[in-house]
Amino acid sequence: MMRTIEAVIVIIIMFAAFFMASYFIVLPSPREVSPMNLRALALTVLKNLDVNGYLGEVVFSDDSSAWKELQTVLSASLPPHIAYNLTVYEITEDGVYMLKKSVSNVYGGRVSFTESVSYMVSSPDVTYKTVAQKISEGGKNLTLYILNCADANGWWITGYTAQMLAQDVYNLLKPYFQTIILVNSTAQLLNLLDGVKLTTNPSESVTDAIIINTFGEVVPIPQEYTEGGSRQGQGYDSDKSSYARYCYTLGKKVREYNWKWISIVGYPFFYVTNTIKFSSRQNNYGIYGIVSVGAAGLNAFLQGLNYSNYVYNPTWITKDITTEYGVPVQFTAEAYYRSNYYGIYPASEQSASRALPGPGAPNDITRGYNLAIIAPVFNPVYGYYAAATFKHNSGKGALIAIGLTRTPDIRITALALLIYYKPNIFKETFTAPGKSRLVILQLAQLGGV
Amino acid sequence: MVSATIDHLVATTVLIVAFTLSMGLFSQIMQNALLYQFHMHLATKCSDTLDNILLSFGDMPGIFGLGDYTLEPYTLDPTLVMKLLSASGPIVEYPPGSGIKYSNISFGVGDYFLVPVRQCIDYETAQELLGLKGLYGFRLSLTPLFRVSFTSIQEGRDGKSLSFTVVVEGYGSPVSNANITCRLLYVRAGGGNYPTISITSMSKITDSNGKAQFTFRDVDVSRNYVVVANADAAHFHGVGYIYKQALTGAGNVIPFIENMENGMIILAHSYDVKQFNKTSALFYNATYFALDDDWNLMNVRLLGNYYGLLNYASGTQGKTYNRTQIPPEYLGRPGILVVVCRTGNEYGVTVMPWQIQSLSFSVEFGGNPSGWEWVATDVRHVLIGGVPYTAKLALWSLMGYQVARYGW
Repeated sequence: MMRTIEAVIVIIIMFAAFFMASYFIVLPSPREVSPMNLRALALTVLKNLDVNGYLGEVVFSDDSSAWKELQTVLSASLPPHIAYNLTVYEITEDGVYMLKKSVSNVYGGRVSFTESVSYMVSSPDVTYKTVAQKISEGGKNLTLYILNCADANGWWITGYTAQMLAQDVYNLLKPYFQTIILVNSTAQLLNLLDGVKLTTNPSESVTDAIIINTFGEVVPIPQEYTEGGSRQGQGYDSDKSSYARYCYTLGKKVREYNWKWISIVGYPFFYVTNTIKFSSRQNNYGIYGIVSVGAAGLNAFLQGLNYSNYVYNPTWITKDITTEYGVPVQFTAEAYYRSNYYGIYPASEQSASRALPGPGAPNDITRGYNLAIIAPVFNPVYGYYAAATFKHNSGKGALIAIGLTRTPDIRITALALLIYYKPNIFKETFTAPGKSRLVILQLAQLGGV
Repeated sequence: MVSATIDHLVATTVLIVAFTLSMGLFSQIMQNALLYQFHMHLATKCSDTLDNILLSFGDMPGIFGLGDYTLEPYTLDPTLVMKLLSASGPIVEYPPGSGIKYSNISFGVGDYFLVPVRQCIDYETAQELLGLKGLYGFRLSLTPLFRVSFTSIQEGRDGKSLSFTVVVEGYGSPVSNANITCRLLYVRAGGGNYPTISITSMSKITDSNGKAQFTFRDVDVSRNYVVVANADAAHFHGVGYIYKQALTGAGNVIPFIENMENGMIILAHSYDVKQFNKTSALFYNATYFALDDDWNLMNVRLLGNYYGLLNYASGTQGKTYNRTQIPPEYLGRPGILVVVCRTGNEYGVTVMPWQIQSLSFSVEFGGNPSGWEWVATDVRHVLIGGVPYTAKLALWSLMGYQVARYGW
């Protein structure tokens, strides 16, 4: 009898655990499972309304018929089950946002708007503008390539996809570059590695370019460089069964073409990715299309950058500053200044778990690979740099490594680049009062669950 | 001893039943959560892929995209849109037996947009370039935002007047205060056998229901006519059109864009395209209107055989098809081709856009989403040559429930 009672007690505990777990596991509503990207829809509607300056004309107009027309066009532009609320604020001389007008297709009732986008418009009567100096070197405007390969997966970019990050960094850096090109496949990356232009745009230049790898700790690899590919010898170390050789080749290419290679988060070159070639392989965390290289990837890249001979070296060289020293990393004075100058405001204190060693730290890469540390974003901690540019002493090639803890803040990447190049911003009649208005479009889906 | 054994048996049985039951319940929750993750991933992938298609510059090899680096983001290159292999209409082979195939966006017997398949980008190539091959299927739909339609069409008894109501509707509501300009292209007998076109126009503003009433007087619409209505609201344009009749007793003339690069167009007898079982001769005259920046129609003289005789029966005068060409300096502009044909006293008409937005044609590109376990969709607002379109992408996993391949 006692055993039956014990069994009943166990059952009670088991079901209690089930009901408690059920209480905490709240599955989302069907609408949230496959949501329409209302933010992107709202942004594209506003953007297209402003293509011919129409939005600027209306938001600075007191003509009620113009507002009515805007309301009509908004209603016509959005699906019938979408409620909208467009609000316009005037930005005063004191920087105060003053409500000017609001239009909506919701009257009465209560709608909770779930997504909103903001859009700044200037008065059509004013010709002021801010012009960012295009980033250049030796009088030549540089090309920015953003890795956006569709046949690649990212890691340590939790919550984002590389494509999302590519779009964000594109928007952040667009004013500072004459030419920005998204590298949309590993086949295009192959062309880039061969020094071949990707577009017919005459201002595109592969040499001296900047390359942002938005895939986090992973780097896309063209199939040709993989095992069994036509360039296996430059991509695969068959002795060690490692793709560190590909990272070595990348380092050499960075030096050869004088590229600035930017790693946005984590341990650079820790994995390689190609979703077609590695479709049945995963990174030990269940993400397919990724193969681990380990710490050997970064060491091989630095060897390539230094034109040293390739030696397989799996030594872990970064430091988890936050865990081991118990401190966050802090902006340098220059980073504070540039953050204000460019209007980019990431947190000035961050956790850094993959900081690279500089002078005073073991495995100092500046000494081992002839690098100079330029424009650090964060102050070093015991010789470790959480985000800085490591430029080769030959003057050719650099690695900008953001060794912060995931998830990535792409604004740090933009700031690191801007601190390095320091482009000027030319402001013309920027303080003209009442000439800028902020338009906020909020959207909500009606009906359904 | 016996009671202890029974106690054991009962306890063990009850425990096993309870354990199995609770594991079943837990696994159900886990299954739902996993499905949620898979579907969420699909939605994110759909959004990313749509942005990739709309923002990538597709005018170079190795890339599938509809953007252009000379245009604003989310403004599509009309030339690239023309090259999407249509998923909505069956492929047409012309001349019959030649093996030359045409992508087909046709909405009726008088509305054609046929472009050579060899110059189009097909679904499989697009999948490969987007890195989706074997993993995801998709369908991209480009649909004009403004629908411009005609109601209450009345022709005067003597054929000397035409009245109708134009209705402009958006995605979710009528478009009031839109400026509508209607161009009436009416057919005249001409001096010889070849019919000609004259043009007149009128503008009005839509009322609160998105409607505007038009009446053209003192124009001879008795033979045939085409009305092209352009709606302008907030610098957004929409286009609609009607014609009196497409066919004659001998069919009509079907235009094929033979080469998108040089604007060469084949004008074929409809019998030869196996469309209608009428073989009589057709006199035709093709007129091309290029659209200027204000959407005015500019009559542009075509090159080659823009008028002539099409006759299917062998050994008789005329050919089964002729070639004409859009002048190269107008290839970068949108335009409308109107082909009028005549047999006896019957007049037929055919219209064809050059760049889909000039007649607000819609495009379907990609695979068939029906029958898949879960299809994620997302939409963007895009511009094609000043015409707002809704770009909708439907994306599904080709691996059933899975969106990433399992390793075991």
